[in-house]
Amino acid sequence: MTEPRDTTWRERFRASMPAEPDGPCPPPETLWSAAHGQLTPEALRSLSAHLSACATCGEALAVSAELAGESEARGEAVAPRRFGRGRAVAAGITALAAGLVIFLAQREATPSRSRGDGSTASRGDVGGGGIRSLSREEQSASEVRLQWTPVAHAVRYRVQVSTEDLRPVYDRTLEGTTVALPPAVGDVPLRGSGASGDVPPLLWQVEAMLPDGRSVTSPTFRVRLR
Amino acid sequence: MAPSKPPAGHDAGETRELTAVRLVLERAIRNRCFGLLASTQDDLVQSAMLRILERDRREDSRRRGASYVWKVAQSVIVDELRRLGRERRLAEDASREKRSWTDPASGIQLRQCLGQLEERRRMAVTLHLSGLRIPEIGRVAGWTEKAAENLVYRGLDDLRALLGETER
Repeated sequence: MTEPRDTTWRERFRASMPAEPDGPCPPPETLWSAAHGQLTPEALRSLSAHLSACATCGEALAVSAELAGESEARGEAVAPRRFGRGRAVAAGITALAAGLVIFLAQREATPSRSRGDGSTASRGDVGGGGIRSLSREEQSASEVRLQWTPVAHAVRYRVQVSTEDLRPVYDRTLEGTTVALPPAVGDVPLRGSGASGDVPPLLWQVEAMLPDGRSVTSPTFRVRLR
Repeated sequence: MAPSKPPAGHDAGETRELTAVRLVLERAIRNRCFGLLASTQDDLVQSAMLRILERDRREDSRRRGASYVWKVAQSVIVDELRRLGRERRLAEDASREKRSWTDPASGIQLRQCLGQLEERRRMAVTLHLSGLRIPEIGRVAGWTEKAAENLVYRGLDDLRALLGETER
């Protein structure tokens, strides 16, 4: 990795700044979070825009980055990066997509088996503790409730819901075995219904997390909305 | 610059932490705030250290852990930089003097061209021109170092092209 040497550019950049920045300067805490890579993408965009008009905040962020780097090198515990959740969601989406691919591939052979009794274990078999859907296959879009059979010793359940074209619309981790989807989620397939009036189903999957780090993943279930 | 002495009651570990903070602040200000005169840089660090010590005494940082001292240092130095920035702006307004390297025409043009870059390249170049190093840009924006490096170089190339400059 080579650092570009652009002292002149930096001087020109500073010279390009207006006398006063366009908006208020962010508080020091925001710069500290930025230096630790903990800003949301929106906050980062906003900060970047501010930096193009405020040389002082640019200097302040650079100094903050040096202090943050030093404090971390000296063993400061740092909270998870803002991208942790995004990456977790991305990983979840990947897992859900993989599950859906299997589901779609199997659907031809075993059509519409939302109450199937043979749930799938992933990253560990817990001895027949499969997950089955206890939800109705057809529900009102304004009041969708997903329910599944509990898994022995599970500490949490992660529920992921997507549209039929694998667009994720809901992702939540909870301790119980029932979740009510927000009405906005139920509206998604209704908005996507074609001229024929057919409302595409939502697909959902549950991952049970066990105390020893293993998990059990359910088959992909469907819920049709009306 | 005469180092700020920690107040009585500080143990050796805390003194070491404050000494480390001072050294890092000196280095950071020297390397990142190139627009400041050396004497101003010294004053800035000294002033920041005094405020850090005051807060350390008031908030009992010892109980909050070593990392808290670094957070306090960051907060204090940001405030000090902003205070200094306001004073400099006021002084410039009063004297009507312009910084020697100020070139309004090319500066405005540079900002306009920067605004035309693709979003990620614009962010990378903005962070780079603000004084962040490649690993820091990667950390701030959540990119790998390689990605940050590519975005900075490509962004600078785009900027040169937009400005009609060919030299590297």
